[in-house]
Amino acid sequence: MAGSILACADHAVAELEVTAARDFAVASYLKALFAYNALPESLSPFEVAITSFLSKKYQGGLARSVPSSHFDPTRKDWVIETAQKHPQIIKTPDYSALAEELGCEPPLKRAVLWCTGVSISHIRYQVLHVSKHNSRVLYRIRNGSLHCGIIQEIFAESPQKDSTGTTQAQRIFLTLKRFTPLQESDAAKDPYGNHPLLGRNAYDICRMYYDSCTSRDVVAVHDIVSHISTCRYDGDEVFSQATIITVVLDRVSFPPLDTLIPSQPHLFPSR
Amino acid sequence: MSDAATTDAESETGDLEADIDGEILLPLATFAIIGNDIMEVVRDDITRTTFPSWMKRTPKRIGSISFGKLSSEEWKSTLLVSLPITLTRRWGLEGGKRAQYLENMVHLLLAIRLANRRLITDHALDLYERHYRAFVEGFVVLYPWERVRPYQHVGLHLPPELRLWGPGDNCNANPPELYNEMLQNIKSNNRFGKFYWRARFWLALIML
Repeated sequence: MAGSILACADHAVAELEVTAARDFAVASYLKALFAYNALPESLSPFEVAITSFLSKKYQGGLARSVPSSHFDPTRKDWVIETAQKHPQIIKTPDYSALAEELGCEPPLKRAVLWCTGVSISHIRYQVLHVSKHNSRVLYRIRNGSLHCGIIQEIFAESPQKDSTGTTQAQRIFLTLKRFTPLQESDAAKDPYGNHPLLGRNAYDICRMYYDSCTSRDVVAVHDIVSHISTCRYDGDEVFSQATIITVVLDRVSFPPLDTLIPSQPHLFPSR
Repeated sequence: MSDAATTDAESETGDLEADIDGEILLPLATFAIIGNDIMEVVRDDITRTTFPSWMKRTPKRIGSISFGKLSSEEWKSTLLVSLPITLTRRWGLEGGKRAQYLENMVHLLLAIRLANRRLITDHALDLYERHYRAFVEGFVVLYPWERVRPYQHVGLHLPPELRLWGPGDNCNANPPELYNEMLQNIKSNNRFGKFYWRARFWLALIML
């Protein structure tokens, strides 16, 4: 936007800062008001019209403001990034391993699109070879436990029509390499994991892992929780292997729902 | 916390731990909680830290006089990511005053994370109040030479606003501030008013 103004204004701009800031503020406030999944009562007569308008405009409508699957496992608010035009067939040994690890119903299709990234509620998750920074995530595996890892591959089933002619929902999966957790002797020296507020006995935001990945996980896209920041450890403590520090950047389910939040979401209470 | 660019207390006054634990008052001009030695470690850690693309990266020259001011998003990434990484490693396993400084900062960090949630619950707001109150009370005790600023007081009134209006993304001023920054960076050569309508026309066209 600023580039366009620069191009057309010949470096001599009027009271445009105020005007543009006001216009954009109004537009963004309006969008933010409509983007939450509960409308205020005063707008309820127009709910159908607003929902249909926003679903065309923002491809996700009113549920878009909540990016985590913890609240809506049926969400469809993702957009894939891929350089491929046509799906490719996965080779048999790879397919068998993937299908076994996923164990989903209906089973994984063999024709998939390999993606470079997936955008969930405007937040981009990308594979390691495309972006080191966007590939480090916190994710949930089938038994419900949370792990930190690096996205290696993203693949999407090609959308297909069923017998009634309706297009089935596209399923997206990710393969991740899981960071190796510290052994007990090293975990005792972890200043982050043992911190009374940041550590594993409280909010569990920061902790250390070995800077290596030993096991692989295959998860669905709605099992991604959030990005993490990582930093290679360079302190005085001596660990048995090189270590990294992880900081969870979750803005939805922080603090963890199962332990710390008993109440229902409180978006627009009656006034 | 004092300005990071000021002279480090340890280099000027000897052992900081002994001084602050022994309640010896230092000349304020030479006193800094996070001095140059810590800031060098912070800057070193920043070069090794990964930030996702939606988060503004902490500036690599943070704390140096030549860098200047931090924007609000840069303050946020500094407090939420960079400082905890460095300070927990340096002060986390220590006792004494430094551990109290760290704990005070962590209370503020947790309060900011809770206030920045994209989904607000009563319980999260209760936790916010608890941590923010702990931060302000600790601030008064740990930094007796500083006064409580109006902004710090306003933070105590945030939960009723969030209960009324929902998550802070609704009324967050950061997006318009980012546009302001972009517009302010346009070199206007102090000639205002020349191409106003032309620019407004293009702006309207873009927004359509």
